[in-house]
Amino acid sequence: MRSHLYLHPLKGIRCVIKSPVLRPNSSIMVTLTEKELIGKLKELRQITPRKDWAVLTKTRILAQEPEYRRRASVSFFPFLKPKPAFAGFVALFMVVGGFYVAVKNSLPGESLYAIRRIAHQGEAFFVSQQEKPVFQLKLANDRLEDLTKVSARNLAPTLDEFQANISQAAKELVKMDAATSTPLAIKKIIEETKKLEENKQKAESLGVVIDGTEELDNILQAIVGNLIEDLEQRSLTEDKEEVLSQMKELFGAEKYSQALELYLINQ
Amino acid sequence: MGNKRKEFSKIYDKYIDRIYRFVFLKVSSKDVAQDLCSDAFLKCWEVYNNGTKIDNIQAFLYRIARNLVIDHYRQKGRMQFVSFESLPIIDPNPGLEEKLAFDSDLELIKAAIPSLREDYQNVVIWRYLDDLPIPEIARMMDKSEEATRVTLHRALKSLRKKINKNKVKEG
Repeated sequence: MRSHLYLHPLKGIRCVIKSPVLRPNSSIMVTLTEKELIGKLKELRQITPRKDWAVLTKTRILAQEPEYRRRASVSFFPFLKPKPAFAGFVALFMVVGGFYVAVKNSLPGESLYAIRRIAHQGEAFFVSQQEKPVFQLKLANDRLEDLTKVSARNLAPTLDEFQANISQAAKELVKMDAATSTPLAIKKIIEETKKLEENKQKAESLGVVIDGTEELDNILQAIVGNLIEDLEQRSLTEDKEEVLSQMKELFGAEKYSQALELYLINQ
Repeated sequence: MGNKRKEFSKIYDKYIDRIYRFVFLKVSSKDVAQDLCSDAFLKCWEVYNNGTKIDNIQAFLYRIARNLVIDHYRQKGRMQFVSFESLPIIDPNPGLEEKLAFDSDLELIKAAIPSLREDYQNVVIWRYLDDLPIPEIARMMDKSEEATRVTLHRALKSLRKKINKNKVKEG
C-alpha cells in the first residue's frame, strides 16, 4: 500500500489516502499500438464520480446564494447590517418609541391617557400667559377631533375632557384684554375658535351633543363687547367707523369670532 | 430563479461525469477532483444565475475546470513534481479499482496522462474519453481543425512513448 497525502489548497490537510500500487505483470510487457491505446483510453470512461457525492454537491451548489448578491448585500447600505453591539439600543429605542406613539394616540378613558394628560399639564406650565388661552383651545380642539375616533365607551370621558379644556380656556380668556393684546395672539385665538366651531359641527353631525361651549361664547362675547366699547370711546376715521359698525352687526348676530377677525384685519 | 435552478440542474447532470473525469485524470486524486469539480460547477452556477450569457456551456465548464487545476498545481508548486513513475493510483470508484487490478495498462495510461503537456492531456480526454468531435475540440483549443488533428496525433504518440518506455523499465 502507498500513502498519498492530499492537501487541499484552501482547506488544509484533508486526509491520507491509501491506495494499491499495481505492478505490471510479465504477460503485458508488450508495447501498445496506437489502436490499442485508443481502446484502453475509451475504457477510462468508466471513471465517474460517486452518485451520492454528485447528488449532494448539486444540492449544495443550487442552494448557494449567488456571489454577486452576497457582494451587493455587503457593498450597499452597510450601515443596515445588523450589529449585535447595537441590538440593545435598537430594542430600547423601539420600546420607547412604541410607548411614545401609544401614549400620543391614547384617548380619554384609556389607561395611557393619564400619562398624556400629565404631559399636557407639563406643557401648559411652560406656556406663556398670553398663549395660555390658545393652548387650552387647542386641547379642546384635540378632544373634539378625538370624538370622531373614540368608541361609545370612551365618549363620556372625552366630552368631560373637552368641557374641562373649554372651561380652562374661558378662564384664561377672561384675563385677556383684546385692546392691548398683540395681533398675533388675537389671530391665534380666532383660528382656534373657528376650528372649534367646525369640529363641533362635525361631532354634532355624527350625533354627539356638545355642551359646554356656552361658557366660551360668553367669554368671547365679553371680549368683543369690551373691544366695541373701547373703539366707541376713540375718535375714529370714516373707515374705522365702518368697521365698528360691522362689528356691532356681527356682535348682534352672536358671531363673536368673526367680529374679532374683522377687528384684527382692520387694526 | 426557480427556472434557472431547473436549467442548471440539467446542465449539471449532463456534464458532471465529464468534468469530474477531466479533473480526476489531471490531478490523480479523488478528493482533489471532487473539490475542484464542485468549485467549477459553483463558479459556473454563479455566472449562470447572474444572467451572463454563456454561449457554450461545455467549453465554459472545461475552461473553469482547467483554470482550477492550474491554480491547484500553482498554489502548491506541484506542476513540476508530477512524475509519471511516482504518481499514485487512486481509484475513482470500486468497479474501476477491480478492473485496474487486472489491467495494469489502464493504470499506466491513467498515471501517464498527468505527465503530458496540458494541451495534449485535454485533446486526448476530449477526443477519446468524452468523444467530442474535432471541430468542437478545435473551438475549445482555439485552433484550426487541422492543427487540432496534428496535436491529437502528437499527444497520442507522446502518451504511447511514455507508457511503452515505462513498461520496458518496469519489465
